[in-house]
Amino acid sequence: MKKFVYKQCGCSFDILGYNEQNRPNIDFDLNIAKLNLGCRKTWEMISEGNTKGCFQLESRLGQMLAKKLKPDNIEHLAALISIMRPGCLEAIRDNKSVTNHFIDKKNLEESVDYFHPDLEDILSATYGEMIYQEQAMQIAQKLAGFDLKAADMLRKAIGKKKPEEMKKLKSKFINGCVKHGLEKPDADELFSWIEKSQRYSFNKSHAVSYAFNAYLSAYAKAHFPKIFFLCYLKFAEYKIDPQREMRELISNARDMDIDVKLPDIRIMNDNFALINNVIYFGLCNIKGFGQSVYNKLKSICEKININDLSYIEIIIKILVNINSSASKALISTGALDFLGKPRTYLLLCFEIASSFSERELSWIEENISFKNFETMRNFMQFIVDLPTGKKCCFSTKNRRDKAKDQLQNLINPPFQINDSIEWISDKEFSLLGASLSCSKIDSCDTSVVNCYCSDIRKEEFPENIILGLQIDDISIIKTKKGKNIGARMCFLTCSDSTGTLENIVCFPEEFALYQELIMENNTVIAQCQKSKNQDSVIIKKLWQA
Amino acid sequence: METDGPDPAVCSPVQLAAVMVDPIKLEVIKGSEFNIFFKPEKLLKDKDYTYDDSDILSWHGKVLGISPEKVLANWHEYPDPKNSWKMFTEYLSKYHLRSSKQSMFTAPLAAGYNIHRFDLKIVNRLSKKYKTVNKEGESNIFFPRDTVDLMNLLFYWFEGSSEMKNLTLDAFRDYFGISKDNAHDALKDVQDTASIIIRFLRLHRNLKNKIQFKNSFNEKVRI
Repeated sequence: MKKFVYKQCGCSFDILGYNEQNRPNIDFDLNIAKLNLGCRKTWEMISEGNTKGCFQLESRLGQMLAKKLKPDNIEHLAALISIMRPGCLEAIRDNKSVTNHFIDKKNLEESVDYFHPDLEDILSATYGEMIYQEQAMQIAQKLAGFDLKAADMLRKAIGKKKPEEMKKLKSKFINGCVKHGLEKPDADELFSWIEKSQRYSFNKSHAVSYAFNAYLSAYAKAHFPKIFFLCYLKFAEYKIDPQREMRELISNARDMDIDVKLPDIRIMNDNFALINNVIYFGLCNIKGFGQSVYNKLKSICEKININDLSYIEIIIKILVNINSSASKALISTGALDFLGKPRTYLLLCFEIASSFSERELSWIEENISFKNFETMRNFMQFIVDLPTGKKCCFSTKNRRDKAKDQLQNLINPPFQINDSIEWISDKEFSLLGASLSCSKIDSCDTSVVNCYCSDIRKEEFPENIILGLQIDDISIIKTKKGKNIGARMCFLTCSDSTGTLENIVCFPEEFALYQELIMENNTVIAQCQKSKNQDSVIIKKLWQA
Repeated sequence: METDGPDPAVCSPVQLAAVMVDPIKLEVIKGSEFNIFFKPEKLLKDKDYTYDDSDILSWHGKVLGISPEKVLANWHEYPDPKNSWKMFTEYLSKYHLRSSKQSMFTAPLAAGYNIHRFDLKIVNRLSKKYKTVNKEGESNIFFPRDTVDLMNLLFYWFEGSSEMKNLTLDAFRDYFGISKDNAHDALKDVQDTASIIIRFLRLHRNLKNKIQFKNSFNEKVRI
């Protein structure tokens, strides 16, 4: 069987055959046993923090810690999954969380100490940190002479806080350690360490199975990113916040040079689809465009080739025959952008066409050749100019007057029929969950801006960062430490045309100064500096864009 | 709104204009101007195009600098009110906060000069006539809970002021130094009104951060 080999990592996959575009159909076997666990491409991707969509690592915290820890084997990945749990993050020793101790030790920024030489083989894999419950059991076995059953009882007693049982086991543990050659105070200290670790230590078998699943999803993302994003976008609607999930996935896909495009009526896909290496929104992914409307549209389009139709025909033959709000949603989200007409103009034309009665529509169908009309204005002029004597639906004075008014709407529209950037951005955001074509900030003067959200994510930015941002989400908190305890500060989620940037910090002083500008949907110019601990920025100054 | 009469209970609009104000930036949204004419309802079926209120024709003629006869001739050429109303509601839906499942609670908020006593009464009447209403039969084209009537706002600021002759928009135009060229053209009126509203909203935004309301009533006030 032919193989498809990735040059970057050497991973190979069986080719099952070729599709119509001569692209190979690859056999992606999900069997862990067959997986290349040493794939450089996958580990590099995880170490870059590019773990959106990867099991257990897709949160901002997961992405940030993956980037800091830079795991390169399953053992590290299991440890990462363990240390990113609340217990480890909140367990503070020497003014630092156990999570940070682990990361610093792994990155050789802190020395590794095993407390007792005999603990080295138990704790070496975790750089001297006791992050697994199994490690506590092994220590009890090795140093205190516990059998497996007693060691498990110790784990349970500590975990479930049974004081009487703990008292018994503590004396047994200390006596065992003393017999092993430890001083009593050291044995005491070791027991108290085990006791404390139970607040944060995680079940290793659990962590390892999570790690395999995380690796599997990262492996799929690294080798087949387009299919990976396609699948995740399809399932975004089942997430707690589908719109946010969608935005994050699109932003991540674009960072990986994968294009996610607006729905297109010509493709006629109901759900997200991968076509010619581009992911397209499906028609049913548009809010207000349901499956029943899709089925109706599909049945109409089966009899017609959309590519052969002018925009007037598409409106009159297709759109007026489906639900009006669904048609407007199609136009507003750019599903008819291939026609090369402004969306607002198409909406106006649709509004005119939807005023035709069924009788008028069938008369038009039977008597008028659309090829004669380049524009809707020509078409309506023709309707207005129809000879009065001719027996047609438009021969009455009332109907003709109405057609005249509609023609006048086209000749001298009462409102602007060019699409503004803000309008496109707003409509796409509210109907698709994300603004794909542009961001609201694109309509503002951004000549002072020197980098974009994607540059921050890729860590390619100048010293003095100036961003043009649209504020998407604001999370206001009160500070718990520092010089301004109780003062209000906020974290912002902002976007520009290159995607989203989360956790932008606005500290109390700046928040007090600029809170008038910090409003959802506002567009601002932000002078920022890079945050030390997070992959984001800290706001120093804000201006209205 | 310019109308064919002074009584909002019976008059018809002859011109309707609007602009949209960005509630965050407090500025008129570029390209958001709307301007349309209405054929007065009384002229719809009148074959002789006569009109019983010559005062209003003379008033419009004076404002526009044309004869009352020409005003009437223009009105006759204006589009059918149903078409114009449809265009207006389409325009409003363009700026609706939500694109799908639009409701009156996410509709644009109405603001204008003397709209409580005049424009909104006509809007409600036309909404019923052209069925742009909710289940309860109330107009659903604007946000229902709030409206901004600049006339009320200015009254609070200029109550008892000797500087103001009266509370008409023209008087305030003079006072604020806004040109009266093209005054009583619905679009010019709405643009001027928007500029003044924006000025007051900005002032409000500025002041609110400088005023301490919290616990204002906790201590007993000594008279």
